[in-house]
Amino acid sequence: MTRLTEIELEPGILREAQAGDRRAQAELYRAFSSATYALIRRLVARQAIADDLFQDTFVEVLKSLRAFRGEAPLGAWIRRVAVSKCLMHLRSPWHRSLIWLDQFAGNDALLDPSAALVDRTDMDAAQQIDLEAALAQLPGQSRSVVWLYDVEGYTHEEIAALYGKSVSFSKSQLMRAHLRLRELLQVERENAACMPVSSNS
Amino acid sequence: MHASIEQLLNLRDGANAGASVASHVRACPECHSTLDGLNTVTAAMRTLQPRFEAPDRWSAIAANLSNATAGETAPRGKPGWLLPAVSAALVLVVVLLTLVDPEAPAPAANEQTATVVTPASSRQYLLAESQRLESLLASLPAEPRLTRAHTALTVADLEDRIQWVDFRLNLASEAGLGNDEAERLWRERVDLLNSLVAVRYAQTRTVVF
Repeated sequence: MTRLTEIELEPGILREAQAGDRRAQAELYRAFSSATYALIRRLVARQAIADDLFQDTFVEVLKSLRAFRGEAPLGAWIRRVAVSKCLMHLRSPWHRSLIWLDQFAGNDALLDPSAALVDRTDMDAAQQIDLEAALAQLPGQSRSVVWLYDVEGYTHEEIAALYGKSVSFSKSQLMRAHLRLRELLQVERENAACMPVSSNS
Repeated sequence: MHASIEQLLNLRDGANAGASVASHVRACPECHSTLDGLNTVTAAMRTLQPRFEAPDRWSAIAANLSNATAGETAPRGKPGWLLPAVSAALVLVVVLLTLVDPEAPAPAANEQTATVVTPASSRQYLLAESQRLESLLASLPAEPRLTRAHTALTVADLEDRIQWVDFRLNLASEAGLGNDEAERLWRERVDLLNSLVAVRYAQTRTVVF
């Protein structure tokens, strides 16, 4: 999957999109939508909320496109808008109330139901599913920090600035995320090791 | 004593973990294995293929852009009538509370919010007003553990909208947007803070009452 910062758009299309040409804007949307959505889903596990943040991100990007001066790749700019929107959600009282509700409902709402349908004998796919499931079970802030730091290449200083908190906040969230991932992946490995033997054998 | 995850992460990232930690990890199979595990998880995250497709939201996005072009700038899900309605309701709440308990001295917050008038003035005025309201909010007692659902939702909505304005202000300063737009955002921020102070004040008064 191509990362947001690696996607290139023809300068002509960008200029037309900046001028308000709807067809060019649609092309820009098509070029960046998959990578943007993938990033948002990594930061915000709930699909319905991720869908709304995805829409909000593109509305904001296209409304502000005239201000884009091309000093950084367009994908980096879109990533910045998407990350800001996701973190704004994660900091919001609305998100905090959802966490409270999740304590009673369990984490089923966050998990992808197709995970259960994967053939566990395909180890690569199974490990990916385990990692997906483990990531989905991390608290929102820890998940966003581990993803931004380890995958997107943000520094602790940048993450701290985005959250309006200290560098130690970012470091401690990263540490918590890895501790939790280790626990969750260990459980998954133990469960996989205890799969019942087929009755045909 | 084994290395902590924090020390192992520092070692992984090339940050200063200390020479003693590095030499311990080289010699300790358990710490070495944990470090390998951290590297494996990170590498797996980087190659993780997304298994979800982006929803097709283009028509909604295009409709929103068309509305914005036509002058409708209210963000999705934030009806324009909400702020005036909340303000009117809060004035009513404050008046009712005062009538029910006329002996109680009104705190400074009430006096200050009641006299706030935001003229079409300079950005400096709006900045100062914004700071004043922020400090006023900080001086109010902590939110009660028990509160009405409507009040909690109103507070959450106002805080969300303030964050949204802050986000647009950040973008505006980076993108070098015009003074008019920036001043409009600052005015919106002051209005929202005024409403939030009023709600929070009413909230504290209700609990006291």
